[in-house]
Amino acid sequence: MLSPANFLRRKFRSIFLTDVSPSSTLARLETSWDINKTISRVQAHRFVITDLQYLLDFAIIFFVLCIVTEPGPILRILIAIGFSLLLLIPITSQFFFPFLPIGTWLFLFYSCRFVPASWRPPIWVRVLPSLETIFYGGNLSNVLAAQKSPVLDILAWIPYGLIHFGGPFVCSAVIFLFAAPGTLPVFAHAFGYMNLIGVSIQLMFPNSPPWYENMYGLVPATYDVKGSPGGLARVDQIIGLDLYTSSFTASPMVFGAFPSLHSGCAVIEVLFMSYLFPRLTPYLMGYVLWIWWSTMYLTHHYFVDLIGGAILSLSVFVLVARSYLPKVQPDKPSRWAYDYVELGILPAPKARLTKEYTPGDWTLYNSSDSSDAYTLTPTSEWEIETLADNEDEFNRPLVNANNAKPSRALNEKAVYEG
Amino acid sequence: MFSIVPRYFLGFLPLAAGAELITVFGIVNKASGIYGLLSIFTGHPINAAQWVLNIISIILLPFFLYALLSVRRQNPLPVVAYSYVYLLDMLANIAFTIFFSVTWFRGFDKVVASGDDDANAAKLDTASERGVSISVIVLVLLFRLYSCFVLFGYARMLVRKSGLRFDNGQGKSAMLQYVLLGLTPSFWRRGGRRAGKGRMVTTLEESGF
Repeated sequence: MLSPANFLRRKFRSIFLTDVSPSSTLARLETSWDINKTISRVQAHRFVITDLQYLLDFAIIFFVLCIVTEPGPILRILIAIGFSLLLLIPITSQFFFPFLPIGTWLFLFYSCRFVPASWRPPIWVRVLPSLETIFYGGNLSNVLAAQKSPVLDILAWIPYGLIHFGGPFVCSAVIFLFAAPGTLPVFAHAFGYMNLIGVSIQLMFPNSPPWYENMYGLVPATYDVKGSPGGLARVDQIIGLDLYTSSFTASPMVFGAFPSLHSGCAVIEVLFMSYLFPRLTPYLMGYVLWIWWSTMYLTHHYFVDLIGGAILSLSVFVLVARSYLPKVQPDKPSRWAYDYVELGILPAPKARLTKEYTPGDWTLYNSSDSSDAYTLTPTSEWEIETLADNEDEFNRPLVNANNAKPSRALNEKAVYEG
Repeated sequence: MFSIVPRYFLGFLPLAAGAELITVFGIVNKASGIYGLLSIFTGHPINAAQWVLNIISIILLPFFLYALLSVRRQNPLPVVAYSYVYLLDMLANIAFTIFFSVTWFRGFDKVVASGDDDANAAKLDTASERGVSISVIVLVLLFRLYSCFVLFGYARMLVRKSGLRFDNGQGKSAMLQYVLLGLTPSFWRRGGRRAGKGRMVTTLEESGF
């Protein structure tokens, strides 16, 4: 008789571990508890300019631990020691080191309420409504919040109150299982820094959300104003629990309307998911439209905020994906199937210039008679890069079958061989 | 040589990545049309200018999605067409922005004053709120202008890379190519305006070698 645990283990092996190459150590996890291992790893590390990010993270965490008053000083020191230990012990640091940007963001977000009002910039009340009306013709959030009903309340609550908080965990699990090893740390960095930048903008450029306009009118705002659950108060009434009213009233970031991190998180999760599963892209875009609608319906954000969050996420994703994101290999079903990993979506132009052309390329070209096959051979890349004028830049092979005339390639061949 | 057409997006990203980002920014902005037209269901009144803007956005949304695919696949002609549409869309948007700014800021101080009867209402610093709003709007419009240059630069790169001229189109797209590239041939031509003035620009392919 097979015990349930054994059954699950076998099932897991048959799904994920069938085609693991025995020599591959890529997907293996760290099991050591030896702090010296981490220290010698740091000593052997060749520092690069991007490592400054960790200095920034530690500076922010240090700042937060200094200004926070709520947990007492002893508890704060214990937290600092505990976090350092988690980073030093290899078995925990493999998780907590990539988690550092997210941790920094959470620390900073929590500490917002302790930043004295005298340090803070004035709160803008009319800027976002102005931008929204001028860019999009009218107040879209007002348009969407005009008609309320319990069905719509529930429909808005699902992405805003549930998927938003569960999404990062689900995405992380999916990325860990199905993506190339090393994708999850990239996601953690992108997610963490996106939120960190978002909270910094919210701190430096505080704006009042739509519920403020509805509750108080257009009077000047102060930092004494409590947060509001907006439309989520109706959800609390429907489900009969106090899930959001008290937590949003005590929110550390009351005037953080711009940019919307609900939009930012949704967009960055969707970008990573659609990078892994391109076929899901239309549904994932549908999810973004859904959560955008719900934030405006629940009077938490103006449309400008959503665009701001989306643009922030897109920029972070493009910067990160270009150079750090491991390439998906479509024939590999899970992380354990990978025996090598290439970083970056786009091939670096330099790498292609130094590509070696073996005689095999020529025979490949000669045997091909369709123009499509021709464009896929490296010969066309070589030809384009040498003949075009130098002021242009090249990233990908030309994929326009129209212009791939065999005569050109023949010329090139003659030039190359002659 | 100094050129108004950028060679890198923001000085460090390749034009391909820049064009892709700009297109996605366009797509998320065009999504506003969907929400604007939801006013049919919510019953919130919107005026004629809003109707026009929302309908333009909704019509352009699928076109921008198609443009994103073309930008990714590096198809020269669709990207050229897209650059022209982006330029026209930008000009239309500037017109809308000016129109909405005028109507909005005309009632700006009044709205604030009538919004609340308290003495507080007068304290709201409308001048600086207006100043911040206008600066953000101007910055966004400048960025869109820059995006336009980036798109044209990217389209020109693709056109030159694939050796297209306004008169060498083939098949169904020949007419489109003639119209798109024939408007300003010297902009798209390899070598630019200097081409043919003492500089040898004929490639092997063009000489029929």
